[in-house]
Amino acid sequence: MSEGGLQLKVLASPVDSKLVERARKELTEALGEEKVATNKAILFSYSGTALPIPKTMPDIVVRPKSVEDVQVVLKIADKLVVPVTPICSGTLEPSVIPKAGGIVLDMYGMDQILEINTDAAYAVVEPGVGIGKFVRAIKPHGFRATLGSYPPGNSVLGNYHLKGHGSHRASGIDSECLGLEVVLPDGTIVRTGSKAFEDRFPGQGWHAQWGPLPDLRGIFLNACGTLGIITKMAARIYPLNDVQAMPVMGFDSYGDAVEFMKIVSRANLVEHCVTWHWGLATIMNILASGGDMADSGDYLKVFTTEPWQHPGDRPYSLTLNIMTGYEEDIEAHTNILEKIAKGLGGRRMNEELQERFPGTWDYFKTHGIDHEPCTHFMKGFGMGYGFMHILYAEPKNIVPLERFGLEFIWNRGLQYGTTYYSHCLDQGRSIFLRLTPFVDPVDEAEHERAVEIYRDYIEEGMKRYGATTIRYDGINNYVEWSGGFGDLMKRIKTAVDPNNILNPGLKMYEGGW
Amino acid sequence: MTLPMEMLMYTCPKCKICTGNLHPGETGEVLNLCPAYTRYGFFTYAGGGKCYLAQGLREGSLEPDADLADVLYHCTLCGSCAEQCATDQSPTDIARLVRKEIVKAMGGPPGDAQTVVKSTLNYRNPYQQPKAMRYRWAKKLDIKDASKEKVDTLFYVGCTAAMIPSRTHFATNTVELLNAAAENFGTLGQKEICCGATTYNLGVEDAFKEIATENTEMINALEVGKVLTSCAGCYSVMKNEYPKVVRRNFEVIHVVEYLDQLITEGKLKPTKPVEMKVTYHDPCHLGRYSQLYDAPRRILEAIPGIELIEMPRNREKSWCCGAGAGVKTTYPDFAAWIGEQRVNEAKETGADALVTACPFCEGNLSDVVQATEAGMDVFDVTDLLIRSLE
Repeated sequence: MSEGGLQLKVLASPVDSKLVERARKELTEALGEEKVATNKAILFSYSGTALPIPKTMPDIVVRPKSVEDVQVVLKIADKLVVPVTPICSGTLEPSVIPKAGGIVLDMYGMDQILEINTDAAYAVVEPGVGIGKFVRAIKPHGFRATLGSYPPGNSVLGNYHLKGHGSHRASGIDSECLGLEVVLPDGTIVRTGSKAFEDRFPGQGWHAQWGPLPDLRGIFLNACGTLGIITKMAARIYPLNDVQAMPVMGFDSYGDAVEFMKIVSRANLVEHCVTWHWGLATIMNILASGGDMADSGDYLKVFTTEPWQHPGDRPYSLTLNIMTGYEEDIEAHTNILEKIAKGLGGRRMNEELQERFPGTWDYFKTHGIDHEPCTHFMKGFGMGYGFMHILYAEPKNIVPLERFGLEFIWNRGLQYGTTYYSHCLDQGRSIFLRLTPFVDPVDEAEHERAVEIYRDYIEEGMKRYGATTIRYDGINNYVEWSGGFGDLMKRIKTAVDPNNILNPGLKMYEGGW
Repeated sequence: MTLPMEMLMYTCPKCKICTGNLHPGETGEVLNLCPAYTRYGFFTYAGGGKCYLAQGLREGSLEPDADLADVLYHCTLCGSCAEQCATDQSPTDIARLVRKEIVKAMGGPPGDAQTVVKSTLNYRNPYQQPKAMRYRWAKKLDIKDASKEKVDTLFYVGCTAAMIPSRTHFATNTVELLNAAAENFGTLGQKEICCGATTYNLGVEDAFKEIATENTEMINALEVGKVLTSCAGCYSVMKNEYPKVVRRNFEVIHVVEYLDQLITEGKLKPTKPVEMKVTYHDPCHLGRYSQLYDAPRRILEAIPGIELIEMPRNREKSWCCGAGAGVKTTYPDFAAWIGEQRVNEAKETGADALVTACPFCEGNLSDVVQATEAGMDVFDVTDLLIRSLE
């Protein structure tokens, strides 16, 4: 198996072996052997992800089952100054790679749904609750969650915390998080929002994001475990209502689709809308139909056509609109959507989509009507789908950024093509654009090229189009780029985690890897 | 698209769908389906984790050593990860591939599984039994010798049903039922050799090829047309794996398929009521490996008085019995734990008995019932069918 081909090396942990042994001994004594692993084979599967980023071996993996377990781990790690990298579903995020070695804290074992509050429309989950389990638990109560296109095993908390895509009305997805419980390196437990007063007033619920003091929720979101270990999250849930609908509109340009998303979201006609580039919609059709991608003419079309070109036989953009409500309301809103689309040169695509692109339809329906997490796109990972070039920008800038990005990536010579999807965030104040180049998962040179392209694209997008990226990637120096903001974050980090044990390998405050 | 195995190794997105019934559209409780992940909790034990181990081995970051073997062989290769995998790939196949590498590097599988392999090679059975023991179960029975006279069907008994005293009822029941239907069948008697399933699952590739070839050539020469097995492991390996090694001129049928057909044709008439609430355990090698789900259920439903109650984890989403792929030999505590989960699940249905169609499953589940004093009977499908014949 090791003959020929790619030789991707895993980096060794930089932590001193005597320190590791001391940590192992103390952790095992405190938590028991079942929760602590040092078997090299077990460690290896925590060394990286399917992302084309080099792996690093951790020294110990710990699976806490309770907040108390997390406190124990952090106190030991802080005392010994051993790095701790928290992971949950452990998927395609650079933050889960234990670059500094030490302890990986696998939070997936804390997997309880602690409360479903249908009165106040929120639920409280531990980190290991997957979106599939969550959706299935709240559905019988007549509720749904805000979903991105991630699969059912992925952590609800992990996604909301790292701004997984998807939104509801005026919110971005991180707004779905009402409150957090976080353990700090010294074992202190912090709760945010209305729950901050839990110790003094134990009856407090999680109903409000805020209280009389500044909102600390935000500093833990997107922090990738560098400021504390999140052990609970209260998440907004929404009624499924009487009718679920998903009118899909087709447009001949991305600009028309963006204008449409802006208008319909600002008019409160939809709960969410997302636009799919023809290339990705086509790939979804092949994957979700169970078709043979390699033999498909559509497959060739996607990977040989310049992605900014109109495909000719199908709309350039498909905009999926997610709506729930009363029947009369949905009918009226759907008619208005159609009218707005027509005014922008678009058309309603539902019937055509079902007939010509049943896989795409099925994929959209899973999200838009069934409100279920999907598995359809997972097969795309065989094509290196996992690499994400995410920027979001104001509507006037997102349209030229789309063209720039497609050309930029296409012309830098990756073997395969590039496509994307694009969400409307916060009523179109900001538009999310995730370009998706396909990177050969077993070609090391291609990996390196992909990382370079990514780095350059993000910087150019920010410089030329006033865009910003959605989460920390370990590659660019956002702390330095953000001036006073970055400086404050550094000071907060030093105050909260003076020994720098929390995910130090990510180098979020030192400018990246 | 079937991706090359190497691609799967590198593209597992850790979505964890390999661990449970998480596909969209599923309803009810989320069920744990991967025994190793459920028991040990670290991702490495899940199907996806095995893909990462294969990466490590391929890159030279992991050695094929005791640490790796310990994780890899704490797996029954039950196939639930392959059934669930959202990429439509088979982490089970990846795990088997890594086992082969371990065997190549370490000279064999870990622990007591080595004894099984040696026995299979030396005695042509995994139980270190002399050849003469293979036909002891049939001492008082008059069965045709298929190597001497022409028969339509060869009953391939299998090592467990032939040599483990508490499991010989699989063999005797089959004979009784075939006789009741006046079928023209025979066995190979003492000439029968192991099917090689254990060597295959343990990753001992050369031994498996040797046995598969020897067995196939011996059976090919009989020109029987049909080979009937009462063991899910024999059935799966002969049906699904032999053709990858050697040309085969016979069809492989499991006894539940055969009996189902005999009932449909009216050759077997289950008329005597058997008043019992039962639940059916799908053997992995019959179910997920061979998609044989309906035949055993049809047989049970054809028996008057039987009430079949399904466990929450059934058919494609069945929970393994715990015995397979060397686990019962190498890690008996883990096998017992898996079996106990299953017995508890069966008991929760309110059934009087747990019915299966594999001597290996029956063996482990019976051991658990006995050890935990679960107060539940464990039967093979044929046990109940025989009771129903006049």
